[in-house]
Amino acid sequence: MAAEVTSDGLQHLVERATTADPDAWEALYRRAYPRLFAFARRRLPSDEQADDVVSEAFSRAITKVHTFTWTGNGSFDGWMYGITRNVVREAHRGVARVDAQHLDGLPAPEHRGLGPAEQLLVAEEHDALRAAFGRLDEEERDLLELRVVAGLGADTVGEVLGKGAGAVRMAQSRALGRLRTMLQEELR
Amino acid sequence: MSGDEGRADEEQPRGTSDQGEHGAADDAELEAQLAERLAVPPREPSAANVARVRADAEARRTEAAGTQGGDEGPTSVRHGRRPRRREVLVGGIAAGVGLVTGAGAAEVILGGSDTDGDSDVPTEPIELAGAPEGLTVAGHLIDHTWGVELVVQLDGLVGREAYDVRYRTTSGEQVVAGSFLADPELTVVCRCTAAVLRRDLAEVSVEQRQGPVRLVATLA
Repeated sequence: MAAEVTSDGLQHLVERATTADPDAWEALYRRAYPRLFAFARRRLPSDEQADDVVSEAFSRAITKVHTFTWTGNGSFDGWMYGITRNVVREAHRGVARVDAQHLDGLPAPEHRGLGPAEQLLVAEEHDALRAAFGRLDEEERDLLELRVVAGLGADTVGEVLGKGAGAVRMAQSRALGRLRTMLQEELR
Repeated sequence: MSGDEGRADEEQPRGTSDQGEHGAADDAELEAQLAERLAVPPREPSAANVARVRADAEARRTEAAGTQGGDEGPTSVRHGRRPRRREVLVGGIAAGVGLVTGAGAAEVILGGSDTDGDSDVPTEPIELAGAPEGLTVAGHLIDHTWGVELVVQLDGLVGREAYDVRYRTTSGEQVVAGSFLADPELTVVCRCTAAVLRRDLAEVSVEQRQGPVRLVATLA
């Protein structure tokens, strides 16, 4: 796994990257890859396509870094998520849906220590959650992924989605409510 | 990418969803389930793509160096046209398309040199046959430890069609190494890589996706 980069270190890396320093770009790529790959993989049917999407996102970032303005640690991460999101959309020719089949291709979490009946129940709940999540609209899914799974701040997610931080938090709350309702429907 | 900066920015109470009876704890539990269900097994980037990122940065640095120093400015490779960088993603496959400036770089791309740019990486000129009248093509391979990179320059492409670069292995497998969109106004330089070892590579082709153009280099 890539070594952790401190906040000062990240800013320094980004500054070096603006000079097209290959070492800086490699470090940024290795640092960002696990999360961006996961984001892409949930939207694409194969590891290879997700891998290519992330490298394409970085290719674009290399040419566009002069347009990036550092406003804090999350700003670069948010910028990269935004580029990756656009690349995924193009890969789907404008339609980026989290199809249930793509999540099906990912291994289910393990629950050791549970009996067979409990494991079956947990599996059913996970399948229902996956189905309910797939029924959310694209922006709701992106928002929940970026906030809940990637752990990005509301400001950063707002930059990706074109909203203010307050609007992101409200939208997150509404999305969770809708997800809960759909989950209850799936479990009936 | 660290999530540390994210969740510390909460300014309003959690659990203010439209389902008013659900509190912060319920939201937190649902979020935890969601994070677990959406988890993707950790993965390291492929060596090929790490190399591609580095190559793109190098190309950008070369481009920036070529546009500095005033008097000369960027020099088109051919026909007096000003080259521009084109990056495209077609059909989910990414390609690196680079800008070439200066006579030295042009010599490399045209296969007139045994090395790639300023590095000592040896190159292997290849002949891509089948070009229609008006289209000039030059390409070479770079043999990396993890795969093969094709650098190809095309001048005189007609229309704005999509092209795929394919490698065929000695066992008959076809691998798409990259894709690009043609532009009749530009000299297109495409760098594509695939994790196929040179010894396993039998043929390289550049194929118009919906058209007759097919450029093929059969390799020894």
